[in-house]
Amino acid sequence: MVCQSLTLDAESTEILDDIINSACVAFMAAQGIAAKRTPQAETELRELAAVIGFAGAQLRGSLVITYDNALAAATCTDCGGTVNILDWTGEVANQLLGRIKNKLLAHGVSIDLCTPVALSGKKLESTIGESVAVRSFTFNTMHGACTVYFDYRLVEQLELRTGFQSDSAIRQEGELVLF
Amino acid sequence: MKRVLVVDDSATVRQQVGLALSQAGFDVVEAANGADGADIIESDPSLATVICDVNMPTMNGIEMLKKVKANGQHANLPIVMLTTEGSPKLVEQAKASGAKGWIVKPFKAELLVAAVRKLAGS
Repeated sequence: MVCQSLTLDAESTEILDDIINSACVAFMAAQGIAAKRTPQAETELRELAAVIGFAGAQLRGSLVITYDNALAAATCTDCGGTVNILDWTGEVANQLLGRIKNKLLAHGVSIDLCTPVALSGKKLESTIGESVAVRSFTFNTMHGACTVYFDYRLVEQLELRTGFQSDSAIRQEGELVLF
Repeated sequence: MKRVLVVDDSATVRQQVGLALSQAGFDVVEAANGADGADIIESDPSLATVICDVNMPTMNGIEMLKKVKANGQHANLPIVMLTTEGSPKLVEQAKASGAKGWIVKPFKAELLVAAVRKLAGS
């Protein structure tokens, strides 16, 4: 049962923030886009958003990414022409949360991903509020900004620590192995 | 022309994989979930390789893999998983279920093409 009173300590929160931040930057870099985090609070109304849930024995929640069509199109490399921007936005959320999942796995934390839902509109607004359990990250790129929210709840007490003996067998993004 | 089945619930990923493979000279067919993928495999004996996502609605990739490999006629059909998952446990599960490879998204086109060429016997 989810316990509202459980929270991450300061070191764990810092590690979680680093995981999310580095996953976002790495995802964008893999698409050839430099993304730099800005401390500016999210106020923009965006054209696209995707929501993807996750659940595990220690934490559960959802990730939301919002951005405009221009950045969405720029992230879709090797598509050969017409891009289904809404479908791709769902896949962006999937791949981004997948990176976070693999980084959490390196800390011994396992989560399962749900299927993403993508939304498009003229000026999307959200009800995501400021909370210690909602980590928000806004990045600037040459194609526009994007914001990522990581809304989580602890199912059981969780500590993330540097120096954790990670599993070196975790497969990395872009890796291909034949058996 | 060797035929490859691409199974992924994202139309964009199917488009990306399909483009890489068709530019390399392969014929590409698509499915949006494991159930449709399994149906295509059962009905098309000309398939040379399958590239399959793991997390999909209706039937996930591991379930499709197990269902397909339960039919001895597909024992030699190479199936490679293409997924965001990096868990060694899941990789071993797929290997034990008969998968021939594992790719973590985003894929590199040149690696994907080389792998398919090797598996399809091109």
